[in-house]
Amino acid sequence: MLLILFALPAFAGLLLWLARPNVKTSRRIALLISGILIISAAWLVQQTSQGAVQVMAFGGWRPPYGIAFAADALSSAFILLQALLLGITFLALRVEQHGEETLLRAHPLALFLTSGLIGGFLTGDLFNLFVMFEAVLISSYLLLQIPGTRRSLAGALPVIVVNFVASALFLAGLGLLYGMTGSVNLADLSEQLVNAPPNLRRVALALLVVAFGTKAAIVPLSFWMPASYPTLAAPLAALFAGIMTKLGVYALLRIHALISLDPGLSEALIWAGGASALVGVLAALSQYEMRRLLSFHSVSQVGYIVAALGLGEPLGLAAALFFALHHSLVKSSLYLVADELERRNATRDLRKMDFRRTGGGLLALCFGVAAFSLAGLPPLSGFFGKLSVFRAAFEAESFVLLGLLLVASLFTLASMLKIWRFAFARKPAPKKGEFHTQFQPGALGLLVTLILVLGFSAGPVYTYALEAAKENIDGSKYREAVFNAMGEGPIGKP
Amino acid sequence: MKSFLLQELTRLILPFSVLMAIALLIKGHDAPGGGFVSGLSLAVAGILGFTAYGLGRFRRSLKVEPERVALLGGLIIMISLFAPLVLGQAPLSQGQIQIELSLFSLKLHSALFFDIGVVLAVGGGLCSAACALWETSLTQDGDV
Repeated sequence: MLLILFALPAFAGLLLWLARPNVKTSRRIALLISGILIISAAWLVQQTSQGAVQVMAFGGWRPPYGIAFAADALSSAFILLQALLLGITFLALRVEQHGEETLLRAHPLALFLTSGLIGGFLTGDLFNLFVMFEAVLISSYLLLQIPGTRRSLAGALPVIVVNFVASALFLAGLGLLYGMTGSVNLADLSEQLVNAPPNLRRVALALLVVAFGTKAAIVPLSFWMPASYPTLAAPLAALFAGIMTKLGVYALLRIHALISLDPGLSEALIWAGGASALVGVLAALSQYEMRRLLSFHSVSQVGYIVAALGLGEPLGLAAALFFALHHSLVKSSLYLVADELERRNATRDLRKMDFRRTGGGLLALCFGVAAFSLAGLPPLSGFFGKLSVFRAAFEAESFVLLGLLLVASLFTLASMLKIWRFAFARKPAPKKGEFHTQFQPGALGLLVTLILVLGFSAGPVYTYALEAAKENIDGSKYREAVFNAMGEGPIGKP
Repeated sequence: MKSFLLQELTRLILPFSVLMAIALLIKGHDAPGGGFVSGLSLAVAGILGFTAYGLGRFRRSLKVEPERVALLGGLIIMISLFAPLVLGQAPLSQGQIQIELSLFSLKLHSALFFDIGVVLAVGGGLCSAACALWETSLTQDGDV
C-alpha cells in the first residue's frame, strides 16, 4: 500500500506524458488517480490512527542498512492532505480557463510532484528524504516553467538557487550525522545520537534546521517564496501555497520529535517563528497584488507553525500539526478566490478591482469563510489552530511569543479586511442587475466545505494530532516497527 | 555558433565520452560510478554535440526527443521497482550472476537494469532541459 501511494502518481505521470492523450482523457485519468490516492490515504490514516506504524523495506534489506518507508499518524495526515489538495487542483484546472497546453503539462508534473511529496512524508531515511526534496524541487521547477517565457525563467531562478543552497546544507548536515553514527536511518539515528559528541551533534542538527527552515520559508530564509508565484496558473499556485512549505515543516516536526533538538536550536526556532509571524503579515499588509499578499501571508502563518514546533512537548507539536493542516486548506482556497477575482477584473491589482465586476454571492461567502478562518474567528478551523498554538505558548510560559503572535493575528484580520474592502465592498453600491452572478463554486466550494468540516471536527483532529505528537516524542513504537521491518533473515544481507 | 575547432574536437571526444558513460555504468555497482554519473557524462556528450553542430542537426541525428528518452528511463525504473513483487520479493530486490571471461570476470546484476533506467532518465532529462534553455534563449534574443 505504501508503494502504491508513492509509485502510482509517478507511474501515471510518466504514462500521461508518454501517451499524450487529449485533454479530456488526461483530465479524467488525473482525477481518477487523485481519487485513488485520497482513498488509500484515508485508509492509511485509519490504519495508523491507533499508533500502529506501517513499514516497507526496499530490496529485502533490513533497516538500518536498507531504505524503509514508514508511515505513522504524522505522515499519513500529511499524505491525506496532499491527496485532497491534488484532487482539488485537478478539479480547478479547467480547459476553458487555463488552456489546453497548460493542462496537458500540468497533469503529469503535478503527479510527479505528488509522488515526491508523498515519498518525502513516507520515508524513514534521511538520505532518501534528501532525494525526495530534490524530486519535489525539480518537478516544481518544471511546473513553474509551464509558460516557457523569459519571465517564468527569471521568476523561478531565485527559487531554484535558494533551494539548491538549502539542499547543499542539508547534505552537509547529513554527512556529519553519517560520520558520527554510520547511519542515515531516522529510527537508528534517534537512538545513536543520544551518545554522540554534543558539539558535533549540534552543528549537524543546526545545518538540518537551516535547510528545512529554508524549505518551510521562515524569516530570515523566506525571501525566495513570494517570487515564485506570479507565473503559475492559479490552481497550481494554490497547490504550491498549500503544500510546498509543508514538506519542510514535516521534516522539522519529525526530527524535532524523534531526535529532539538542542534547547538552543528550539529556542531559535521559536523566535524565527515569532519573527516570521510578524514580519510576514506586515509585508502582506503593504501589498496590493493579491497573490503577493497571500504569499507573504504564508510566511506569517508558517511562522505560527514553526514557533509552536519550537515550543516542543506534545502540546506544541500537536498545535504545529493541526495548524499546518488548517493553513494548507485555507491558503489554497484563498488562492482559488484570487484566481476568480483576477479573471473577473482582468487585473491583479486590488486597487483596480471593482465590486460590480466581482459580484457578491457565493464567491464572497467562500472568501469570507476562508478569510475569517485565516484570521482565527470561531467556529472556523483557524480559531482552533490559533487556540492550540496559544495554549502551547501559555503552557511553556513564553509570554513574549504569545504577545507577538496575538499582535500578528490582529494584523492578519486587518489584511483580510483590506482584500474585502477593495475587492468586495467598495462604493458606489451597484444597481440591480449589475452583479456578476455566474459562479460555479466547484473546487473552491469543496475546499471551503473541508475548512468547515475541519472547524467542526476540530476536537477529534486535535486529539489525533496530540496522539501523533506523543507517539513521535516517545518514538519507541516507530523504532520497533522500523527495526522489525522484515521478520526473517539476518540484519542486512551479507 | 559554428566553429571548426569545436566541431572537430567534438567529433574526437564524443565516442570516448559515450564509452566512459558505459564503463561507469558497468563498474558502478561496487566501484565509484553508477547510473547517475553515467547519465551525467552522457548528457555532457549530448550538450557538447548540440553546441557544436546546432540543435537542428543534433535532433536529426538523434532521431528521438531527449525528453522521451528520459521518460523511457523513468518507465524502466518503475518496472524494476515492481518486477520483484511479481516474483514475491520486496520491491527493488536484486540478484546477480558472475560471468567468467578469459581476461576478466564480469559481475552482472539485475540492478543493472535499474541503473540503465537511471542513465536514460538523468541523461535524457538533463539534455532536454539544456535543449529547452538553449531554444528559449535563442528565440527570445532574436539571433539564431
